[in-house]
Amino acid sequence: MRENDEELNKIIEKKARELLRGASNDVVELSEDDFDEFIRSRKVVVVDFWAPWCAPCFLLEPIIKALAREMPCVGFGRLNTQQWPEVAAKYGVMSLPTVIIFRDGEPIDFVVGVVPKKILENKIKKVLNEN
Amino acid sequence: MQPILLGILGLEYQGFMECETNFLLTLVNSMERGVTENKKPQYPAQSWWSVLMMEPVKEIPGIDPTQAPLVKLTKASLINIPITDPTYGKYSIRFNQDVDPATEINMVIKAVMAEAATRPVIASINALDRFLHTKPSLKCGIYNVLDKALRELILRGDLTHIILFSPYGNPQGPEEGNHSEYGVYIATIPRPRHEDTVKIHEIGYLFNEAVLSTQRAL
Repeated sequence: MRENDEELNKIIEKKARELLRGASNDVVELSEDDFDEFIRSRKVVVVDFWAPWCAPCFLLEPIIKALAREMPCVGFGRLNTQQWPEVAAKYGVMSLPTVIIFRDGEPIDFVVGVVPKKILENKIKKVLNEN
Repeated sequence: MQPILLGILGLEYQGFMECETNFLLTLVNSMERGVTENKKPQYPAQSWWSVLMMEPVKEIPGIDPTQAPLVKLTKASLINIPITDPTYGKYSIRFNQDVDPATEINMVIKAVMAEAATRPVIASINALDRFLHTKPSLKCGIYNVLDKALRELILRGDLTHIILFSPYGNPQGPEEGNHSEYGVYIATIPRPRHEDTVKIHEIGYLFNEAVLSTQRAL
């Protein structure tokens, strides 16, 4: 009985996190464990691959946060490549920052380096409109 | 000018974009850049003592700041260092909100330019940390004053070496000691390891390298 309660609590907590994510569209800090699930959680998902030593990655962060606020139908996540190098390697991330736009869990477009917000926004919109 | 080590408490790269600080953004693209790392809780005095002692400091050492290894090695002039309250050095203010950000920033830059004419300088600007814990809406106003003041300092033709760094990132919430763990490193001296952050106690070694390099060139 107790095991069932714990299981139920985990499911409730997970659902609550998902609801909160949807309500505020925060940029989600991703790990190897939830990466695959996250990129399939919405039709279009944007992931910012970063590392703590990468100064331009910090310049890109406010752009990603602003786009997340402005595009609630798109999922936005960040993956620390120093912590999760296998995920970065799987998607061929060679330099940082790299942003990958996923549709239906598949990588569709890549942006390498810090680019103006408008360029990133247009690329995301293009992937959205190709549906 | 002699080498300058300028620490700006609370400065972070995200603010350059949020506040559109044109000069700082140009610096990022034209100088050696990196990220400083300092784990929570981060306090001004412990962070600055780590720089001056050239090793991680958790408890304030009971020595005169002029006896700190970095000061002895470089014979630098200290300006507005928040290891005491009021701050230590040529320009000194209380670590509260009595002095407005623009006054502090402009007075520190003026003192840096005067002192660096004859000897290396170690200086701190504390306005972001003094104000943003309780008044985060002032962020871009302070960033813009910093941008203008740093332009005036760095675009002088006689700069030898400069290390512009932040001991930690943006203040987070009203509690002292709570800041982003990542700050800024923009310098004429390369950071020690390419794919790693600069630890706060390593800043002193880098500044000593800048001073030695200037002495060798003379």
